[in-house]
Amino acid sequence: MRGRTVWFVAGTAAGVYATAKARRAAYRLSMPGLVDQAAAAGLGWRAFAGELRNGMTQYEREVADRLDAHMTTPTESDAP
Amino acid sequence: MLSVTAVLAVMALAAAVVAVRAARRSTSVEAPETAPDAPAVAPERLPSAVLVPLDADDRPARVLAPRHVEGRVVVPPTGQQVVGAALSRPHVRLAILIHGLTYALRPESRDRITALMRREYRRRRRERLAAGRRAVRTARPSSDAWMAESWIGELPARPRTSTRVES
Repeated sequence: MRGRTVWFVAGTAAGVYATAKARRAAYRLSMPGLVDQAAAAGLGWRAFAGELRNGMTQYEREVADRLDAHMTTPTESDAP
Repeated sequence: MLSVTAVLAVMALAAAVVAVRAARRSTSVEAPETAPDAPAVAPERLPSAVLVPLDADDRPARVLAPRHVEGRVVVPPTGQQVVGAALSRPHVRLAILIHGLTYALRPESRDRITALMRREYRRRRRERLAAGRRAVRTARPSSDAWMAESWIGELPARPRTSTRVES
């Protein structure tokens, strides 16, 4: 009796899980799902571009600061 | 043909080694010359000063005077021009792009972006499903309305077709 109950519960859980997964996969492959995925990908691309821009700006500023420090450091030739 | 290429490669390697050695030698010679900038006065005799951080704009720009070199006027570029020219060089641009890519593909940034995409997809899906359910609910009358119109056990009303013909 106990074994049957266990199998019944396991089968029910597996069925619910498989149904949910199948429904989500079907939605993902449908046209609205594809539209949603495209929108999410666009948002991700914009976020990635923002991060890329931040990194580039940061490195540019570092290089500019380094060059600026090198330029403003008085050398012997500038001494009166 | 192969031997000529090998000879050229060896010559290029030797030239590179010589150039690197010369560059190292010149830097090692220049290094001690910049060191004696230390003040000749003892530190305890120096007047007390307050260190104020300078902004990039407040920093005095080193402007070099134009010079005459072989009958031509040579105007040295300003620091900003040098920085701009250095930043616009292709390999510097490439290095900046690579740094930006590595910055954007850091694990924390990557996880943030993927989580953002997943959240956006789930939000849109949830909204779409909710809108679909709402549309179905508005298209179909609710059970309460149906209950108010009819009693339990009554069949839904059918359109009656009268076969009687009144004369």
